[in-house]
Amino acid sequence: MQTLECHMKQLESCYFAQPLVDLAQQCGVHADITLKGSKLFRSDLFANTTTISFEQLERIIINICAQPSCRELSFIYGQYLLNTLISHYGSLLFNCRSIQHLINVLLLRGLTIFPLFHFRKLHKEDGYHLTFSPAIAQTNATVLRFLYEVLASILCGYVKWRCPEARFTIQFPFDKPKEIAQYLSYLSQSYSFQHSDFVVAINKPTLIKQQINNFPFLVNKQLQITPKNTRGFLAQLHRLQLKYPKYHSEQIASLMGMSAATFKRKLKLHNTTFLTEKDRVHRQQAMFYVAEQGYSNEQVASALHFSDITNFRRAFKRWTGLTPSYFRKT
Amino acid sequence: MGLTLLAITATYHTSVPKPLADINLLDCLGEGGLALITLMWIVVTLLTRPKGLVTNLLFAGLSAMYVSMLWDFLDEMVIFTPPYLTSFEAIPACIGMILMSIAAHYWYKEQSIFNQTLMKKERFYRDHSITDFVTGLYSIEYMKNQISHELARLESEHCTFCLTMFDICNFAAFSRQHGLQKSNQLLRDTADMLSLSMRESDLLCRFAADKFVIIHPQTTQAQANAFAARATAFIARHANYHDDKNQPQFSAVRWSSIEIHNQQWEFESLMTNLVAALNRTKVAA
Repeated sequence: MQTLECHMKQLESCYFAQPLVDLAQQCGVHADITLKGSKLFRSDLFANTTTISFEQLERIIINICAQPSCRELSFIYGQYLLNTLISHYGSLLFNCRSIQHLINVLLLRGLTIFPLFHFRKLHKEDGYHLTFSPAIAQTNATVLRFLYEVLASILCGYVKWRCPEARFTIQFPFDKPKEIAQYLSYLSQSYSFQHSDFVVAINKPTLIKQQINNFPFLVNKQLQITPKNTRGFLAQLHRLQLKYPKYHSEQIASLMGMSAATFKRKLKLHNTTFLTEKDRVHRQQAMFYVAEQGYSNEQVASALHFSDITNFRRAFKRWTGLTPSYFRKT
Repeated sequence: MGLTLLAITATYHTSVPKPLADINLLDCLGEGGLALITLMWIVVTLLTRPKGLVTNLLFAGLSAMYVSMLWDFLDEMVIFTPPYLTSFEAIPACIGMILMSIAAHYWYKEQSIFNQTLMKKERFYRDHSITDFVTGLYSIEYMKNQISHELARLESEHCTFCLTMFDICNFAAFSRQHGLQKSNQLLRDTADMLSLSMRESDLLCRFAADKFVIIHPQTTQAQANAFAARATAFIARHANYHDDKNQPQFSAVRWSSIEIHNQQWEFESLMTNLVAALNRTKVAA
């Protein structure tokens, strides 16, 4: 199966490069500074067919983050992207009956709409935990923070627009920033910092909240029209690691249609290792079971296919720095 | 560029090259560097300053300086015929200095006028690095410093101060309908109208998105509320034209204010309270 890799030019410039360059220009940053080192020219971006790679997007974001006048650009870009995405996928998203229906549709076509992140839906008694992870490649903390802010801005903007009464909580996987003004202004939902992953926690009453003026019978038709997801390299890896938790690197490589050596090389190119990603997937699941579901160590170890509890406790401490029982207390 | 060509042409006709042994390369490098930097100053002045008297005077002064520098540089490599031409090389620089002194005088006058317009937008000190590019106001970092300054004054002067936060109603919908440029224009207009509705002692800063914060020193809650109500009424009367049909649209702002009478407050909790109060106003509306 074809996956989207960090060097492949498959991200449309009209979503991922041109608006960033234009918005930065509105903040007084010249296009040449924004595009420095990306091997792109401003004139290239105007062609409708121009596509860029994740690496080029990364470079543009690094250039923007280096500019003091672009502090709130991630949030503005999120709002801009929301409007642009809605102009293309509005009839699919707007016609979902409820937030729950919308989440299910996004699980099917989310990566087509926004290929940079994929999410897992973890059920708990009183709602869902949506755990987001980078879908294409791991990247540095600055770029990741920028992209998480974009994502939060899109999510809050959408909900404010279509379900103004819906409430959810966003957990950011980084320290509380010095400047909180953008968060207070752009994020209409509650949020907290210093978590291990970007998580959106939604309770049951919100899940069943109806969208304004929806026509659910149009959704199936729109789903057929909307092209299927092209999974990012990491999204595909995470999917296989979840599906085959016991498989080792060579087996996953063969499932991804490449040799073990090529797989290892590609993992390095995407700034990660097989074990790091496996740990990430298991950590997300284990932390959810321990903190949200109140599972005992035996239950979590069994759910994650550990041979014994000692191994699980050791792995959990490696992932979080805390033992499961101490983590439960905190 | 014209001046350079003219100078080189004039030198070609009025000079003979010096023997290589007589040329001091280090001197040539220094004097050539001075000429080059003066030329760069001319280019930067023309690119960055708006057209007008000050720019014209600066351009004339710098050009005269450049002629002298270039003359001095060429003098290192050629012998002018007649030799007394060398004695005139400092004259353009002298004229240039006089022109630039006049320019500095007018620049000072121009700056004094700008300082008047910035009266409600800055207090006590200037730091252009924390200004907001869209509205020209100082960003919230500047406000943070001013709030800590006011908090420090609370103890000595025993008087309260107020903070008022404004936001534009339905800004997200406006942005969706009219695009980013029009949204930025609305932000600029709102900033101007707010600053027109303020006292000289007040300070207006951009918070983030469509939110602005005003600090009212030595003011009670009732006074701050009255200012905010007047500013809101003023903005509501302002007609915006966003399309070709000449149909006016009227903006509206919401506000929340807080009175600070003790030093226990921290900047972040103040801002969180203001935003929460503003959100409650939205829900109530």
